[in-house]
Amino acid sequence: MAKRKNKKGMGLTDFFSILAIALILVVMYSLLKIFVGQSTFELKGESSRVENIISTIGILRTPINIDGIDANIAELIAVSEFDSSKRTLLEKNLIELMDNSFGTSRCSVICIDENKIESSGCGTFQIYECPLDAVVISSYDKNIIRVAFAYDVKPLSPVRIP
Amino acid sequence: MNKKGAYEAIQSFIYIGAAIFVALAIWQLTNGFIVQKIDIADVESKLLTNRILFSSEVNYFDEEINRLYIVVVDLTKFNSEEFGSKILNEIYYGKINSEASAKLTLKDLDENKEYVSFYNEELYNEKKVLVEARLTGIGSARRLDTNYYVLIKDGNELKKGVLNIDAILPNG
Repeated sequence: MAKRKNKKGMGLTDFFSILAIALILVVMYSLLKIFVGQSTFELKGESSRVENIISTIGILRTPINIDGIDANIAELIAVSEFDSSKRTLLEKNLIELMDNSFGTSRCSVICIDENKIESSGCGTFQIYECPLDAVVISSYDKNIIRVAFAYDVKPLSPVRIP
Repeated sequence: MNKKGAYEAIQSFIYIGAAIFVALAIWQLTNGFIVQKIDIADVESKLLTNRILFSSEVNYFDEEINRLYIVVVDLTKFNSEEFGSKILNEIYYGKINSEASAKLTLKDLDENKEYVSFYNEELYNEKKVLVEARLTGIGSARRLDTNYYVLIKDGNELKKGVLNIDAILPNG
């Protein structure tokens, strides 16, 4: 047989119930305030692509001496398309240029069509992707050569498919 | 109050409490989805950086053919005493510019020299302190530091260089 509560006991129950509800309300409201909050929409520019293209233009205009003739990197790229002996000179100059300009602590990549040239900051056993945005120059046989440059390139992290 | 009355009172309180909570939850969730603040600091600083980079006060301008060579920094213009006032007039943010500032560092890679110029030096020095103190919110400032590979036109010579634009913009 259930024990009958007296009037004093009932008053206490009332008080604690209200207190519990108030407490729950405060806790839930605070949680909502913390986790939901007011949203901020951040507009971000896509200018890193522009920065890379601007640097690519600078690289292509860089003066260089090819066999006693004053030229620039763009001309050396065009020459090396049919004269493979110039490729070593081109690669050496481009690696030196990337290392001196952007440091050896970060990876910079220049892609001339499919040929990828990486700076000393790139990891030996890591894969770096060629940048998508390229500057187009013409070769001596009227073909198009795509030159793309990117600074601070992150390596690809391949996932093994089970 | 009898036992039944007390029970009903507690039940009413619970219902009222639940109703208030549901109302608050709906209000807060709706608030969460409504964009109340648009942060354009990133775009603003990149816009300033690009305006400096494409400025005729920084780049070499061939008057004969009326052509501006972007990425070819004219060292004579860059080092001139009027550089600060000229670039302030070109990238115009009003008579009293409290909107944008930048420090331009040009590194000559061939001769290992460094040249420094400012866009709105007064504001840059004022806000640099706040950026370095890592203060956030209204009254503080944000920094965008970008490096570009450029060519330096020193007389008739073209040299390799890096232009560092350290843009500082106040938080609105």
